[in-house]
Amino acid sequence: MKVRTIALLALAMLTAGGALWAAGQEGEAAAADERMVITWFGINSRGVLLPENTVSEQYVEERYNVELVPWTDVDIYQGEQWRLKMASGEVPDFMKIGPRGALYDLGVVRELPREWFYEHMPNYVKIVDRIDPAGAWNDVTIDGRIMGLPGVNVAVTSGAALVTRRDWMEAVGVEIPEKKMLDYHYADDWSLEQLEEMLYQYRHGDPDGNGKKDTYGVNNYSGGTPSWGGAWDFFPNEFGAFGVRIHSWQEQSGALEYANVTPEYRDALRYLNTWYEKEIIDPEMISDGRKEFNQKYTNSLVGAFEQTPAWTGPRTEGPVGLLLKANPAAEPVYVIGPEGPGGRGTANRPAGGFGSCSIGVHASDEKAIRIMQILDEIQTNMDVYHQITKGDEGIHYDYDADGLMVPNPEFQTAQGVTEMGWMYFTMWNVITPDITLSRLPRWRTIPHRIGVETGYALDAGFRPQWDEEQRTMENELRSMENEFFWKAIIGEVDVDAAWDAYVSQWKRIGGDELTAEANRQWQATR
Amino acid sequence: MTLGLRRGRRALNPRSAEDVVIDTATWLVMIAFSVSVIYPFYKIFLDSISTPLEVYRIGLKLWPRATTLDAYGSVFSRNTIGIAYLNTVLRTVAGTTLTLLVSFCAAYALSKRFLPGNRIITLLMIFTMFFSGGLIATYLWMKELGLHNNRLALILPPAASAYYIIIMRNFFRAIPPDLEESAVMDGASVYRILFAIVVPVSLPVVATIGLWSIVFHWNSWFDALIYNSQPRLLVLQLMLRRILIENQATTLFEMELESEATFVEETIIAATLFVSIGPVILIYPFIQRFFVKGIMTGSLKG
Repeated sequence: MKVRTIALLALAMLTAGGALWAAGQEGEAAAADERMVITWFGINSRGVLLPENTVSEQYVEERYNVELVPWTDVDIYQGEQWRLKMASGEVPDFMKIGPRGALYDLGVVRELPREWFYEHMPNYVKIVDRIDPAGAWNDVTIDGRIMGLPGVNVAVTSGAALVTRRDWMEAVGVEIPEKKMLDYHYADDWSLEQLEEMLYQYRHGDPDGNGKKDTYGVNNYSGGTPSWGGAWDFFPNEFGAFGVRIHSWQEQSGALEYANVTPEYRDALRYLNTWYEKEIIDPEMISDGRKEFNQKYTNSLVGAFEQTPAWTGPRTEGPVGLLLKANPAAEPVYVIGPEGPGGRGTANRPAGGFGSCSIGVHASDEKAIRIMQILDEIQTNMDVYHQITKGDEGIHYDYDADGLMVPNPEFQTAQGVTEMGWMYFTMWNVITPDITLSRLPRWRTIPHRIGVETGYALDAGFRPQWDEEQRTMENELRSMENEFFWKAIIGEVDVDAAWDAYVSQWKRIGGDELTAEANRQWQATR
Repeated sequence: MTLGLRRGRRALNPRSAEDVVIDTATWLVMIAFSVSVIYPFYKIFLDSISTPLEVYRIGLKLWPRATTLDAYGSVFSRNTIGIAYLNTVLRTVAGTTLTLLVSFCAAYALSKRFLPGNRIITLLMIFTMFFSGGLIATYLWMKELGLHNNRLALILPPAASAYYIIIMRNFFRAIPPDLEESAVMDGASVYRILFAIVVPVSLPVVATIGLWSIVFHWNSWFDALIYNSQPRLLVLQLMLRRILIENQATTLFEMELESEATFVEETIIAATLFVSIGPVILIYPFIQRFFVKGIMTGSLKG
């Protein structure tokens, strides 16, 4: 009986063991066939949710043998929606959102060892490191750890041009520049005096011929607050002529120095004050926002402005487009990099740090690496990139005689773009400059190309990342800087007399501390 | 005595110089006040029927100049506004009906001091006025209940409001008990008393709570934003928010994309605004006469 029981037990154990082994073998075989599942949170058109199984999703799945699960129930533009979803425990493996800010605070992003980038994203990182390594890496480095995929955007690095109008130039006797960019004239060889003379005539030479002195030369609106991001808003070409890019940290004899406390900045302010005294600058610029400015520009009360290239192009709903609607003779003419005491230059937006992405905290090493490998190809193989962002040549887009990509309008609605899944399964922007410019809409590529081809964009400098306390300190400094900025321009303070006190106050209330921290970070990224 | 004399004088000479001055001043102040309230709406209306360029014309605009109905055409040609309207009307009608029903029943029961546990139920309800479960807990709970992407997510949670119930309860307690007692003596049932006696005398508070609920549902967007992401469930205020707030920040976020950033013209913003606020403006004057009476009676009695 005993023997029989033991034999039965042994048989049972053998059977169970065999079954388990077989199951294990099957499991492994199934796992080998099973595609890695990656949850993906990309960008949709505002208010349009991504449908399941878009053409782009299928393309990426087949090409990389993975199964994508996009977040089809969340609109990336509705921060509350995705933040709440993530806070409740659901975290996608890939997020087309940089780690800094909400994601890091929520604890939903994972760290990525630096060597992984060189191993698994070599082509992508090569371009990042060529374009803006300090800015790009610093943006994703939080508390000394790399918490995201660095992004760069070359489309924004083109310098800002001043845009004026042909009919007023002719009315005050200014010669129209010969150079053209896609049918629009531009000047890249002017002097600062030439620019000043034109703007002076806009105020005093009755450019609209109504017999009244009711026009101003320039109004660089922005609600009155120059911010670091808005360096292009506030006389980028004029400061550039003095060699200054406001609100930037620039290398000076082996260390970083803040632009708004340099002697060149002081000289530029003094110069702009003369413009104000000559009534070239619209005094309401201090308080004008976009709407007020558009109103003035379309009513021909201001002759020129400087802004980020996206706003100076002849775009139907923008100020230039609106003016053209009201008066077709007001063809835009661009002036960039007038030469001044500091040479030629204008502001742009720094490339690095824009468009970073993140990998979710629950993604395994294997999955994180796979995502990096996939993105390495998507971002650097233009055939793949075009395919999943614009579709098929000849069907969804074509190229015009100028080599610009012309999308088929039928598919270019907010609905159409999202339904194809375009831009969802990529990082933010393609990072090859010439291709980027060929993909922009025509109205937008004009000022961008002028900015790129003239090459006057000043180095955007290093962008430090502040902690909470430092950010508060920076805000206080910014208020003080802005106050001095406007008071100097409108002549409420004598720039030379007040300069030393301004600089020492700036240093005392946090400037010295931030300078030290900026230098520390800068050295670390070098 | 003095009062009587003044009345007598007024009867003989109804408008003294003093009266005329005071009346004129009052009228002028009230007209100025009315204009300051009405003009912004009128300005939105003017913008909505103007050409895009006319919107940017500088100066005071008193009457339309370059007019077009293109903006309204554009607003109504989008399917979105129809869907948003329908969803908002649905949530407003269903939500308000449910809120009234729940509040009325709860308040009527709680108005009876003999209800067992009356005090503890009231205290528990008041507790929810000060402490809630928090956003994430509520979000998870709604998800567990399967209410994500569901119209009920906008109707069920606000159906029972402690504040509404207490206001109603206080109103019911102010109804003289004799009214109900006489009905009881006449042999009326509880339901008969409720519908034949209590409901008719409670119209002011029903109208007040109803109006509050209508305004709440009409203006709500956050619950729709977090629970209902499907475009077919879009509500009006969420659509407006997109057009108004998000459009203002047209944003590097969007501008850096290699596409035409969405930029809504001022005329379309104005037309959308006008279309969406119209119903509330139209309904309010008809209900507001109940408003003061209902809220005063409900809030003063303890």
